[in-house]
Amino acid sequence: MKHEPPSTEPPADALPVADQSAVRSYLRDLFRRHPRQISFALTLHVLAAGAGLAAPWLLGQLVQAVHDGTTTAHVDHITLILAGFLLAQTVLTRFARLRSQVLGEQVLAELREDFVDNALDLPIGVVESAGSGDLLTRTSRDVEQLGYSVRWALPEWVIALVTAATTLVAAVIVGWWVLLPCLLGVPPLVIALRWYLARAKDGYLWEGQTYSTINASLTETV
Amino acid sequence: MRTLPLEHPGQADARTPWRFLGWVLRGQWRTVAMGMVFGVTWMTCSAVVPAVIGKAIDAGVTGRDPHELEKWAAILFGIGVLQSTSGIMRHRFAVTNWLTAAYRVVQLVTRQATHLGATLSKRVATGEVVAIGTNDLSHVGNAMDVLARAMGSLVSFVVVAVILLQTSVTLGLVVLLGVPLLLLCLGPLLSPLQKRNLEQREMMGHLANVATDIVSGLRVLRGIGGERVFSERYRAESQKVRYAGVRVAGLQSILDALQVFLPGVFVVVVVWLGARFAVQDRITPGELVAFYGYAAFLVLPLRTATEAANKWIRAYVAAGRIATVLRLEPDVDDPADPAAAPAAGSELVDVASGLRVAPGLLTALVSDPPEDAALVVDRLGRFVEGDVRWGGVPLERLPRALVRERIVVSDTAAVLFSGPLGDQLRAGRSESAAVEEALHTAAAADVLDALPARLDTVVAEKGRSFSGGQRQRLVLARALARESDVLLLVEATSAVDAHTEARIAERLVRLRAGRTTVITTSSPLLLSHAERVAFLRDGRVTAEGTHAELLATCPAYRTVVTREEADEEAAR
Repeated sequence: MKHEPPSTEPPADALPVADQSAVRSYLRDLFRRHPRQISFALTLHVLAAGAGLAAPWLLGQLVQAVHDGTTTAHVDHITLILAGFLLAQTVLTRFARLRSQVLGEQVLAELREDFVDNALDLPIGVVESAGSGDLLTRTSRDVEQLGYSVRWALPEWVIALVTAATTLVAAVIVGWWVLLPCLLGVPPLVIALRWYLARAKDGYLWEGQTYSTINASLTETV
Repeated sequence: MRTLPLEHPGQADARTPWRFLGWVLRGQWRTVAMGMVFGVTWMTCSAVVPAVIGKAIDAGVTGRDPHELEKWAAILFGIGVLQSTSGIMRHRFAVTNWLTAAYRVVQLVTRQATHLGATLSKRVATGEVVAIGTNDLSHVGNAMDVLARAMGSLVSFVVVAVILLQTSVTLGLVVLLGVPLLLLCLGPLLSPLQKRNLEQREMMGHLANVATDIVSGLRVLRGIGGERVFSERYRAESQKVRYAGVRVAGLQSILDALQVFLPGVFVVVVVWLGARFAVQDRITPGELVAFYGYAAFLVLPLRTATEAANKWIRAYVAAGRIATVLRLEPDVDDPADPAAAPAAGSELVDVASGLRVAPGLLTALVSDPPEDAALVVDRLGRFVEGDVRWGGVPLERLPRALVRERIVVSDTAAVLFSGPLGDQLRAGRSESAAVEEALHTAAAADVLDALPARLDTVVAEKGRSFSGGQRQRLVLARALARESDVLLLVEATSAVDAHTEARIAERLVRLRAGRTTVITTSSPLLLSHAERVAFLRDGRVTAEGTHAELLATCPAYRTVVTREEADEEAAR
């Protein structure tokens, strides 16, 4: 595995890596370019996540009903509602995923085309000394990673957020004391997340740079 | 864990894609097995959680026994700790497995590329090979990565089925038969999805080709203002990749939705049956919650199973491409029963041209037309097949590695590689004294002096940071530093000025004294220093002697050489 200490110092002639404010402004720009598509996809994801939460809620009803004594007809009835929500969740998921993947492809295409356009405008020396490995890694692997974020991570994040929020609200409705165990988990999560985020960016930057080196050697060898 | 890159990537079984993947798997079976152990522990922990919660509800909550409740809560906590620990370990091993496989692939492909030499670019497009580095290795890595979770899914599925069978035969059977059935439902979707992925992957290969062209062609393009053309070409290819991606999304999103739907059906059926059983008092409310827990848990193994199938299909496609490259055989191959190596200082003879390279001397090769000389060198260095005898032994009866080791060719296609300058000059073996001497001979010492980090200077791709003349001198120094028995140089000083060329010629004779050297040239400066000159006309040696003798006796030679001289005069 990686034995060398992760150094984020790129080779002197590699293309620069954007700082956070540049990344943020690029993201803002991205949202501004496709506001309708993004909010449409996000809404679909939120609805799908909401439909998915019906199952535990209906199960609670069912357990309560069984506990209080009920008929099989009632059980069948609730099961039908459960099936209805499942169907809704399926359809919503299909279109949510489709929309975000299509959007992802569009964003990726824009990104790599912008990148190449910019690279073409750079001074020749900068592009040549960066080498084709760096250029290839950025247009393929890095763009692909971003695509993964747009297609998967963003929706997953939205779904997780909706689920967590709804679960907390549901817990409060059941009784405030149910919140306590939920909150118990927060400190370790926060600590772990801080620990991870402090290291992750440098680690990933280092990884990306290694891919550039590997691709450069491979391109030259071929 | 292990050190990467691997000491030696091994001899790959590239007969079929599956064999290749199996071979990669065998090569790292230890870490894969460890990953599986932790994967199984991790998933099994999740699988038994519903059972524990069910017990806690029945014994603790419904039974109103605080001791029981505490007991089961403590057990649940223990399972949680075990689950997270094994989860972390599983992840670590998964990353190791990913990296090991990816490194092995890239090492294999790089080795194969050097093994094939010139053959590779004739058979496969550069972008195709580069796409292995940017894309295919990830897919092989993913296939190894997912194994730990796949095994965990399989075992936890069996555990859940066994637990359910003990509570209710009907429910147990629903799980045991239902899960494989659901997986089969996804099957028909995977193959078209794979086809569309393949399409997109091919387009990405084209796109990589265009990106490579940009770096190599930018200098020329700038000169003629062709950036827009490039930009538009890239845009067109990029849009093709996008549309291929949208086609993938159409199917992929259905697969994603089915991954919600099919396990959902399962949950509905299990809950429905469970609730009916509970109403009939055949099971407790706690068990009903547990059933729901199992059914909801099974979403994870089901997803992992489809994910694994998907990743392995992609890996299969990637392995197919990798195996194709690995299966290629070089045009120039090793003999089945190699002959004994000829002694140092054996005579090298090119039968087709009639050239006999005198051992231990510096021979200059002049030809009309000029390109014939390079062809002779290609044969002598066994870059192409030809009837060449070395100390009486046909060159094709000798192992290629031996020929490459003892006969070094530096032709006009030789380029500097990126990386520390010293690494390629030393080529992993030469003494530093030999490097110093080689740099001096090639009149490249001043190039080195101008570099702040000297031999540790990192060279840009293809040595683009140096001027043409500097590059040529460094390439010459690299060839000289090998101190080979036979050195074949093609137009090695064409880009340096006359003054430098004269210095190089003088030093070259001294450095290579007693060893065989051939240099193709038509420069009088070099020719006057050469110990022998051979003149090729239409591919045959027609005259031999010293430069002065040939000038005096061979009018055709005189014409070629003086033409060169006139050109040089004109250039000044």
